[in-house]
Amino acid sequence: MGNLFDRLFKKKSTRYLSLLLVLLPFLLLTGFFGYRTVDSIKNIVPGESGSVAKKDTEDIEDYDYHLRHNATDLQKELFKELDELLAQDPQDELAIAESIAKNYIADFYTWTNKEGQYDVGGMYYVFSDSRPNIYYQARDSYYHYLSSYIEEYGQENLLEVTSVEVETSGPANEFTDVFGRTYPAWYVRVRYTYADHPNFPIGEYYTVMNITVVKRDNGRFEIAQAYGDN
Amino acid sequence: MNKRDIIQKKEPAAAPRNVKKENNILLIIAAILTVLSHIGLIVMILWSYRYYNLSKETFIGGLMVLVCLVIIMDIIFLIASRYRDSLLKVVNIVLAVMLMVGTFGASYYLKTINKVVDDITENSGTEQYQTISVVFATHQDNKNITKLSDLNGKDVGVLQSFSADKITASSLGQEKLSKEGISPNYVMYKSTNDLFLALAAKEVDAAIFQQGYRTQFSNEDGYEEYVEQVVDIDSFEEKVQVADNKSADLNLADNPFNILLIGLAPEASGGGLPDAIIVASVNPRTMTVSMVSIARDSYVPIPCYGGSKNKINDTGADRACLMESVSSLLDKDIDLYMEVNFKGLVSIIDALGGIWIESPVEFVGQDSSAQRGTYTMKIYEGGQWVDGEHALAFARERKRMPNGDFDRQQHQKEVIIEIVKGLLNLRDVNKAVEVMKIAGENFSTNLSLKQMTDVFNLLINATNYNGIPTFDTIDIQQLRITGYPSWFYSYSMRLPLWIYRLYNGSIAETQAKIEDVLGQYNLKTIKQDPNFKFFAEYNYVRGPLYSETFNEAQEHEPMPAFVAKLTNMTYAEALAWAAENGVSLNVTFIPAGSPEYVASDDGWVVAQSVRYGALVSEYPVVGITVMGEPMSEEDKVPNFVGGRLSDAQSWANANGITLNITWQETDDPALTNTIISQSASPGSDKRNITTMDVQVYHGPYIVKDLVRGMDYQTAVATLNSVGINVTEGASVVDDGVKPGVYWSPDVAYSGGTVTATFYSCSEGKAWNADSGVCEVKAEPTPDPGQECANNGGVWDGSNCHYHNYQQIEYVDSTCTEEGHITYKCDGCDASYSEAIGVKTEGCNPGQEGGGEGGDNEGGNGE
Repeated sequence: MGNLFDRLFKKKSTRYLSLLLVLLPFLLLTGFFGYRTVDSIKNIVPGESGSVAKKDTEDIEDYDYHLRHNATDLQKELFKELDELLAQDPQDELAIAESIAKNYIADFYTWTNKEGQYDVGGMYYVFSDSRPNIYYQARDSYYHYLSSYIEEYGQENLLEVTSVEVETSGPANEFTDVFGRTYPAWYVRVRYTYADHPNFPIGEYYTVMNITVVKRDNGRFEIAQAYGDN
Repeated sequence: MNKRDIIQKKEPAAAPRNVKKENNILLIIAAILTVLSHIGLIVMILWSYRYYNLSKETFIGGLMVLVCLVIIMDIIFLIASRYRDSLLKVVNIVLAVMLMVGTFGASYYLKTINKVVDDITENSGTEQYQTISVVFATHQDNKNITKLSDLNGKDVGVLQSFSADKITASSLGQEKLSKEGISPNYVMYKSTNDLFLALAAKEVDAAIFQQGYRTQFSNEDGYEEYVEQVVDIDSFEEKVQVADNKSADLNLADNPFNILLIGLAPEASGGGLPDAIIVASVNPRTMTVSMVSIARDSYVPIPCYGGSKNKINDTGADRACLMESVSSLLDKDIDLYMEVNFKGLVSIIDALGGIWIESPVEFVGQDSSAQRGTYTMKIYEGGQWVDGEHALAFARERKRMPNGDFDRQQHQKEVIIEIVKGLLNLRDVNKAVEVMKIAGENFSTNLSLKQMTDVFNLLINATNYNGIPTFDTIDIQQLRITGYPSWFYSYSMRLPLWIYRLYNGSIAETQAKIEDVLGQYNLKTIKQDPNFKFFAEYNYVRGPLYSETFNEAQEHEPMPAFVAKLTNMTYAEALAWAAENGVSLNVTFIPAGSPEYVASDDGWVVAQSVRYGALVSEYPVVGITVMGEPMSEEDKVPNFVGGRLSDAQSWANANGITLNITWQETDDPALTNTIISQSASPGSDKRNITTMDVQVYHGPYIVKDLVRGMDYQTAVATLNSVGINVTEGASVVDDGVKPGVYWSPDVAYSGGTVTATFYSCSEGKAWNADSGVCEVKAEPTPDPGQECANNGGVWDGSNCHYHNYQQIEYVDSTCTEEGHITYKCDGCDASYSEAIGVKTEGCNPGQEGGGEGGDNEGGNGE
């Protein structure tokens, strides 16, 4: 060992090179951990808009749609479909509207990958100006007892949308928001099914939804209305 | 070459002595610094390890960076020490210095932070302690009592103990006196109020209080002067054990919990009193927080006082008592607390450089001092950057906000969020340390460091969910327990006390809300709407979280007659109060021109001999001092009761006083315009009033008699003049009623209303009194020369000629050169312009006039 040491470092001509080689792994480790440390500190400070969930994995950046990190297979499939449709030129707007509706249904009405009451799905697809409003409406109603359901039944035994199909779709009347702004709109009627979980009263839940999708000035497609048949 | 040469050639030249010495010095320095940097690292790890849970990733990452740098430094040192390499030694020294500076510097800040954290979390753990500050006080007139030993043999008032186990200021004070061999006579009192009054009244020589009694009584009207008469002679603090904290080991990141948030009013001349009392129920599983505000004047049972009711903030500085009272009120376990002094909050905001607020209105708020009425904080409408005092004034303002208490709660939430944002965005380490120090001095809790990091991590993990703005992920719901203002008379304090009685329904509603937030419900009984719809064109409005009122009978205790705040009254008002309460006033005037006279107080009571709240039954005579001249006879308000309104009106007009008249009906017309009552007491000073309310009788009016013979407009004016209003009713035609205006009802009172109905005959019809109906008018056959038709026609015996029909008989049938011809109109209506029978009209000169007809305006009236 001593001979090896001398061989590497005794001669000044080889000393520094040998030293660099020996230190290199530690330097790389320092850089690696340093980057991770700075990154984790950034995550402690919440962003102003908080528009990007740090737990999201994929996104369609130009359109600010994001796929959650624990997406179901159906959600991944539908998200990929949306990505492809948005990349087309020219865009098939009706097809995009249908895809938006399906993505919303697959995310909002699936509970098996949700952490609790506060983890409301589908929010990236709803009308962005009303997003906090719709979020709280969902928390006060549909998602209100989710945390307790998770505790009672187990997350994996809750609602999961397994298929979403478009029944009808087409252009709709222009949509006017609360500020009087108008947007082109499409209606999409979707039918969807849930995975079978015997302990959970799935039968009470809707499987058909009427959705109005609008196109915003920034090119984003958002859901302005969603309602069942009654 | 021989062997010797080879051997000689192998010997290297010896290093110069100064280079060798320099290398040795560098080596020693490098060695020392290397060791020191190792020490620095170890110290830093030991002092920072407690914050591991705050962010494991950051902690491990940072640690690994330092460890790698230390390993690099050690390798360099190893090589530099083994081989004489000055360069490497220098590199080693530089690296060691950097690491040393970094680790020791961090350790310095950590030491400060750790001290603060230790101060804040001093009370964490199952065993709970509270520092009780004990004060020995005496009356200022007791000049011979200046120290504890002077209490020997004296009467010392103490609070009665309701529990043998409970340690109070009284029990601690007695213990101290006993230890020092001092034996006073203890006199028991049931409440701090009784004790204080006893001392103020010199019933006892001294008393033992808990710190904060001065602030408590300074805030009660009428007690300020007594507080000034009481002086403290000694005080001490002792930490005592109170009820255990059963939630000491609770994992707050996973389990719902209740925590009591206490905002202390800043210390005036003693300890702080709870000014804001909020029960926060936190459910980390749903990211929901409910914050229930309890008004500090809430009148509730206080377990520490044996269950007797009192204002909840009368628990004073006894935090354990306050927590027990709130737990009992809501029937919920509350073991955790967080206490902040408002002044500390102001300092933290100032240390952060201020915060941004948005105010819906402009107003002037109160500063953080304990001085009442110090309204000096101007807040503008709209967004603005404010310092700590202004932020606090904004967060506390309720009265001038459009939505009152609701706005205040929203603003408190906004201020808290802005403070948290400011803290999280701090980049200046020195500032962060400064904030920590302020927090340490003004903030206390029984949460452990682990529990605080659990809550902190909860806050961080709550962010960034599905495109929802950061702080909206945590659903903070603000409620309050509602009630109604009431009074009760404290016989011990001899003071009417304003209290806030809570609705039982509100307490129950709050309990249910807390259970909902904490998830304490049976899922099987929940009926949830299984579906969801939304419409972005409408804004979802969350229903009210709590009810403002309840359909409950309100409880108000009967109040005895007590001495009012006469110094808030004018002399006239004081006289009126005295008359109403059967109190005699001994009045002293400070006339204009005397040294004590103040013009702005003229006519006002400036002093009273008996304090506000004292029982009238005990003080039938009250002395008052009035600024200004005594009243003359002319200054006195006459007694108009029973007299005529006109007399009162004349007097009022002469004295520039407005009479506000309200009417009272009477069936006796003779009483009409008689005054029943007057607001200004007879004999009171007219100089102090600008209006006087009088109640006046009015008898009934027979409407048709009142307006007989008047046309409609005049009739309406007449009715209005006596206070009767008129509404126009229907217009009825041909109804079998004689045309005219009919009034209903026939009898009316001032202040009442009558309806006018108009009856008429349609055109072409006339009322026939005999038949009692409107009939078509039959044209009468007039005598020749008499009027016929309705247009002034003249009957010639067979025909009706219009009035301008001329039976021309020319006076002079020749048209004059001037163009006039004169003729006589025989039978013309007198209403026809010229004098009867003579008319002049234009003609063509030379024209002959005559015959019948002429220049008719109308035709033949047949």
